[in-house]
Amino acid sequence: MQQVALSDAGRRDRDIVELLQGGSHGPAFDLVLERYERKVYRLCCSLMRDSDQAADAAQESLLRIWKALPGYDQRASLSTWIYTIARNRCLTAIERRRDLDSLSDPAVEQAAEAAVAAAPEAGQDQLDLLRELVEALPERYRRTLTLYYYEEKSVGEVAAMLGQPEGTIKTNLHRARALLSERVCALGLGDPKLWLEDAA
Amino acid sequence: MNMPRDPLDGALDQALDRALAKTLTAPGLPAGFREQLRAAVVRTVPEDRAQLRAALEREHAVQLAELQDGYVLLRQRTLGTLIGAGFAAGLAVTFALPWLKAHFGDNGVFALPVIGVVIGLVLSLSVWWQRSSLARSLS
Repeated sequence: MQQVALSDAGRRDRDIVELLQGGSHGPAFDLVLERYERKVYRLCCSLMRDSDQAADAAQESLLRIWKALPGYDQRASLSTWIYTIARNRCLTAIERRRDLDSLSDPAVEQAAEAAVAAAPEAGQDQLDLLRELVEALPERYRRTLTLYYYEEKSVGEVAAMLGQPEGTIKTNLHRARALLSERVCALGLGDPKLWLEDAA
Repeated sequence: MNMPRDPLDGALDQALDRALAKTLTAPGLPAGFREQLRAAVVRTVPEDRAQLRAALEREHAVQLAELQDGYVLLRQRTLGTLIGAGFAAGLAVTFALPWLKAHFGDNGVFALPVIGVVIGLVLSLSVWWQRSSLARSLS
């Protein structure tokens, strides 16, 4: 049987596991909600882009977790198990959405990137522009970068949430930042003072 | 070949980092999120309980039917055995009694109950022995 080394999250969730072993599923789920409700929602937000759809996906994920909680077998840490359920739920929803619209068409994405790369409109807020630039990043960079800032720059947490090695997360972050810097410079906004004033 | 990095790039990276931290703020839970979830959880519980109850009732009904079938079969076999044994005993007495009277005189009538008692004791002892040895092996 596969043994899982006790990570920080594993140690932190030991109380939940003990409650589950004692058959107290209700109190265990209360603790799960307390610790993971926001994280699951943020993960769904980073994967789904749309906040309403993210809320639906988070609700469905947490409901699924509630139903599956009595069967949690500790083969993976609780956090990994929870994030996997949430990710799968989001990916299913994204697949379903892809059937409905063609927003993820490469041609449409290129058009969106071209629109963002165009000269900024007069009076457009720098931070709004930055948000648009982030939205126009390739999907894997956008997800990683977004979640990195949502999770207060914790690479380990982002790795756990996305189910990827920390090295991959660091690489994606580096490339995402490099791409952003490049696009910012291409728009003539490469002067750091411009951003410092707006971010202050 | 790597392009030489502009010294301003480091400053730009830092500035963008601060701007990103300000732009990409973690979204808060939508209003009523927890309440909706709780309501959904509560809705699943009766459904699950009802399903569980129905499954248990089905299982109970199947077990009960098996038990009843077994009981009826046992009663039928017992009744059959009793009727068969009665007829066999009557037949045996009909044929054996004249022979016993011829060999043992008037006391021959008592020989049949004695034989019955002996056979009964042998059967009882064998059953008792089997059960006690079964009990020993189980313990």
